[in-house]
Amino acid sequence: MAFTATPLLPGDLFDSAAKFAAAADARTAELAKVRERDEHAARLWEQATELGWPAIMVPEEQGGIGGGIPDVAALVEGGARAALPLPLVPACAIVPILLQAAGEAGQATLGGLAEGTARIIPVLPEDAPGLRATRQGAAWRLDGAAEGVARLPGLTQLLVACAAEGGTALLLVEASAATLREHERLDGQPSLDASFDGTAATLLAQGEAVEASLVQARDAGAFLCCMEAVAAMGAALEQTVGYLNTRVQFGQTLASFQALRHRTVELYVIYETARALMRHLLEQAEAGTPWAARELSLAKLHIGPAARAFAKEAIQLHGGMGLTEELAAVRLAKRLLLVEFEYGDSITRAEALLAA
Amino acid sequence: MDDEAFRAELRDFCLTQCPPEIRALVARNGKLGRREWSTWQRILFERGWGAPNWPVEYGGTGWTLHQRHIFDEVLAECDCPPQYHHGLRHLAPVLIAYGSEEQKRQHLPGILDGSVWWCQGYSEPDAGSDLASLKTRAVRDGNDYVVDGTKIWTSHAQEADMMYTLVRTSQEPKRQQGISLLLIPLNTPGISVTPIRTIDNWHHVNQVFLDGVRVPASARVGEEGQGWSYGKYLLQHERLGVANTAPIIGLLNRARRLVEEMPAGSPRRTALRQRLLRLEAEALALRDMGRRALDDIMNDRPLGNVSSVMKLAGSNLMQSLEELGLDATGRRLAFRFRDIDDANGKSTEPGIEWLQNFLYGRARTIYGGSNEVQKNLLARTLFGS
Repeated sequence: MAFTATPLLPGDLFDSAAKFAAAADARTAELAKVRERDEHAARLWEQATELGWPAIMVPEEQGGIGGGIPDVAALVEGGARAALPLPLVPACAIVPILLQAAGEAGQATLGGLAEGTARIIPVLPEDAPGLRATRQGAAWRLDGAAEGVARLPGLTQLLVACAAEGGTALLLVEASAATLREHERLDGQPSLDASFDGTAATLLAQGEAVEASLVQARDAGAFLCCMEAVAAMGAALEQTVGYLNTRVQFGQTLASFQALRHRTVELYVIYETARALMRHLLEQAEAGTPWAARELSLAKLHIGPAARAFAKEAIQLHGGMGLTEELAAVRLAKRLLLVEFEYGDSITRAEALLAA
Repeated sequence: MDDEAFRAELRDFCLTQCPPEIRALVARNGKLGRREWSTWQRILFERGWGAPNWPVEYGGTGWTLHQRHIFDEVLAECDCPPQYHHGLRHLAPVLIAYGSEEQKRQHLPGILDGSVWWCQGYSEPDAGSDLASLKTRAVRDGNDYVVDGTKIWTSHAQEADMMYTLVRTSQEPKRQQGISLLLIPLNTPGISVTPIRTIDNWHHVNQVFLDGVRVPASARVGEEGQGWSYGKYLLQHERLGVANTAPIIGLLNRARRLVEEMPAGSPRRTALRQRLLRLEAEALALRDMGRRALDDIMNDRPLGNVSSVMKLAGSNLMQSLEELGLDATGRRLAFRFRDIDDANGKSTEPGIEWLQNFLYGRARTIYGGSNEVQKNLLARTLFGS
């Protein structure tokens, strides 16, 4: 029996997300035009909303499912097995985490999230270094720009955390009031740039509570992003083994060449190492206590570059096919390339760890 | 007793009972000899902790695997030597499982109190990773065996009393058959031990020549011709040993101290501190793998691939840490590796052990089933053939 990856969070959520992602990816493979893929991703988000995914971390009092990080982790672990091109982490984890720390105003918005009427993406300070909120009487205005943040179809608001007089502020901005520019990320997920020019915003919270929720949100982001990386590696490894077991050259399967067998084993060791780190951190998440900050940061520092090394090697092992848009393994490799740049790249993390 | 109290008790013992000069030697990555190992074994024995891996009736501690893991970790954290493995962890489990009552009576006490020193006679010049091709012959002559052949890479043979030895007692169609396990005193006439000059300027391995060496048949463990299965049983214990990540933690701590003590603000220190972060993350992963492997063993779950994965990842990580030591010290010390005025060229430069360890550490990916052999094993499970 050839290799199959064992999920860290087996169960219904993992299964349904994995099935959903596999079907979505089969369709993605057929779509050559970026606009077609974008419409496909938009339909996928509608379905994900019907399945209640954005409500997983919304508390029951606000009409949500009342789940925690491990539930979203199961979801993203399943989705990442086929590089599901949806911003699950920002929409299903970061936004609810920030809103839960934002008092009554936040709770009202959480209700909309559960109903599917509010479609919100987060803008963290690191996505928008120059962004600033200013107070004018009772009103708040935003100036500056955010780059490469997540995008949802039918986006209603942006949830912005940024510097402001009186401490870091969490504000809600109507999507229609900002100037948006749409992109597709390297891994096929929808993204956007937003610019604000005296744009009206509603203040939800300010100061220490926001700071604390930002730490939580960033940690959850790094953790979930690494969980996606491990799942994508596992699936890509299955496909690499499958490819080498069937592709015949020089009259024999590629899997019979020791050089290729050994390179595949090296991928497996990268995968198992990353998986062990995530298993360790998952234990902390399941205990419901905050992560050991240094360990989480070390994991992200390690898994970002490891995911890239894995992606490069998976492409090499697929030969010429590794350079085509045809293969699911290649979409997984592209997903893996993004991991380094999400939620604190290894250079930034190293700097912070060494300064600590 | 809960884990924390257990840990505290062990730590207190290590810090107060292990001689400071031995801890200092470990702390600077020095080479441990029989004198240091046996002194430490004697101290552990007197405390009742001589053989945590043995059944209680033979002198074991009755600790769970988890507690044994903590014991190994605390020893490493406190810069105490790990326990010398050849008698205690390799041979003894085989003797307990397959040895005669007389053999157990004769050999186990000396292993337990550290008074008898063992080495392993497995590899031969033409049987390295391919151990089953070994040629050393033992011919039955009355109540004795007469042994002829050569063993190589024999660690500690220069200071050992006994060698447990795989020999060929008959020619069989299958190479793994016809092999027997003999316990041979190294002072038997016909044995000569020649040191092998290794790249690290330490003396630890030897070639052992056996020329008409006569040992009684009672020195054979178990059945004649079944040596390979005993050897495999023993190798499994050696592989289980890789779930022991304490040596990695110890080396990581020493590497960290080395880098932290470099001049603040030097570009080399900054670069090495960055490299160390990666290695620290890998150590965290390996520690978790080791802990899970122990859980699996304790709960009788199959271990799967984990020992091969840990051998590959662990040996590479240890080498990376040793290479970090090389980079921290090499600019100075590589130019003064040997001291001309010392008969053995032994240098007394502080930190010279980092260079020696870098060189010695190249063996990590070669011994214990070379990394290429491990990759062959893993590939078979990944590809399903």
